[in-house]
Amino acid sequence: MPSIKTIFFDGIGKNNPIFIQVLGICSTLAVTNLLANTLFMCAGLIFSTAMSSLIISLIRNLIPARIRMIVQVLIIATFVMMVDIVISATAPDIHKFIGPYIGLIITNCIIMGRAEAFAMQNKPIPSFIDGIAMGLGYSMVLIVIAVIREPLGFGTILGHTLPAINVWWHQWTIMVMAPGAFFMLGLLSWIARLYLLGKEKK
Amino acid sequence: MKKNSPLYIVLFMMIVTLVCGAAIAYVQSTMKETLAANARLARNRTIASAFNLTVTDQTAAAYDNILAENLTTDTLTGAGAPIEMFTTKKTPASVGFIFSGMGFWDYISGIMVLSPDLSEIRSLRIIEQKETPGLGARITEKSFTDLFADFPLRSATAGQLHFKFGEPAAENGRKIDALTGATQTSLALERIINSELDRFITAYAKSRNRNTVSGSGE
Repeated sequence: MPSIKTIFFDGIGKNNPIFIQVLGICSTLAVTNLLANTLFMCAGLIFSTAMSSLIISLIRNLIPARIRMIVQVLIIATFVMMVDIVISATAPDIHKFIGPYIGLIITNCIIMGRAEAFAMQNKPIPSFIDGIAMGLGYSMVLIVIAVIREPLGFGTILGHTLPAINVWWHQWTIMVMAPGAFFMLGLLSWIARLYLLGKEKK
Repeated sequence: MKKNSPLYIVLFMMIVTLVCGAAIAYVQSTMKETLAANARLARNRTIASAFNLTVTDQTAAAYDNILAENLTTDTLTGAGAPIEMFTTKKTPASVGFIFSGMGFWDYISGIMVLSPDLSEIRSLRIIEQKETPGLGARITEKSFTDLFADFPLRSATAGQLHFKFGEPAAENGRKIDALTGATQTSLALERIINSELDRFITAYAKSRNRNTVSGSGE
């Protein structure tokens, strides 16, 4: 079994869920036009992935093979519902925008993929670390995209106006819309895959 | 007991479901008051926005105060379910009511503010909806709801068509187009506006008649 360090850094780097596994694209496109929304979504996904992987791994030997997917979805949905309730109570304005996408974490390929591919075969601690690493790998990409999209689309960062950018930059509407995320994700994936996979070939 | 036996599967699912359900119920119950307060603030914010009431301090208390200072709240009966009605205390005089009806996916509720003679919509805002994000959910966007500002109704008589997307109330008048890519939500909203206006017009007329009768008796 790979070491905890390898599991952690693989999730962020060479096994990154977005760049390499091309999972979780829906929410990547939907929530990255504002950094605040992105941060809440990332926190929700890290929590849900880590906790569901931990619980699934803890009870993996008790789960009948025939119903394993149903059990996984049930456990994932429980943590996602908790995240949804907590964000709705603590940040209602942000919940208004990202609410529909929080629910979609349940069917997010990253979380289901890790539950089936890793947590069902490994011990609880490595599964928990894998969940955090996958969540962080996802978050890293989303934050980079949001940090580029929000200033270009709204002229703000975390809701604060950027005076420097507003002097010479006319707000770029496409960056607010999903196609802006498509372009950003395509460019970043290209660069990341050149670096990550290129290094591996050498 | 064998892991693949039907009894084990049923018992296992029951236990997992029970534990998961209890965990969600616990989180929900601990956050219940905050969630209710947030819902009330969001509702009051929408009502204040519909009546064009500006609040500098964005707290729940500030919204409670501004609504109490500027609006009278009544409950209208006599046309199905009770209707919550608001009347402005100051000029410009307007009446508003909470409407609700089935959208494409779930119930849509909102507030509609009308001129006192019920001939035009002064403003329309959506309080709650669960339509498709990016398509039907755009009914909440300001660019859409602003189209209803000072929009004349086709008729202020109950039983007649009051509003139709893509058609002006009078010849050469202004029209509001349905949302592109959200035909079902637009149709549902049009149906809700017409049926709820019907109910409101009926209940409002009955309440005014009652007031006139009780007024003439004094």
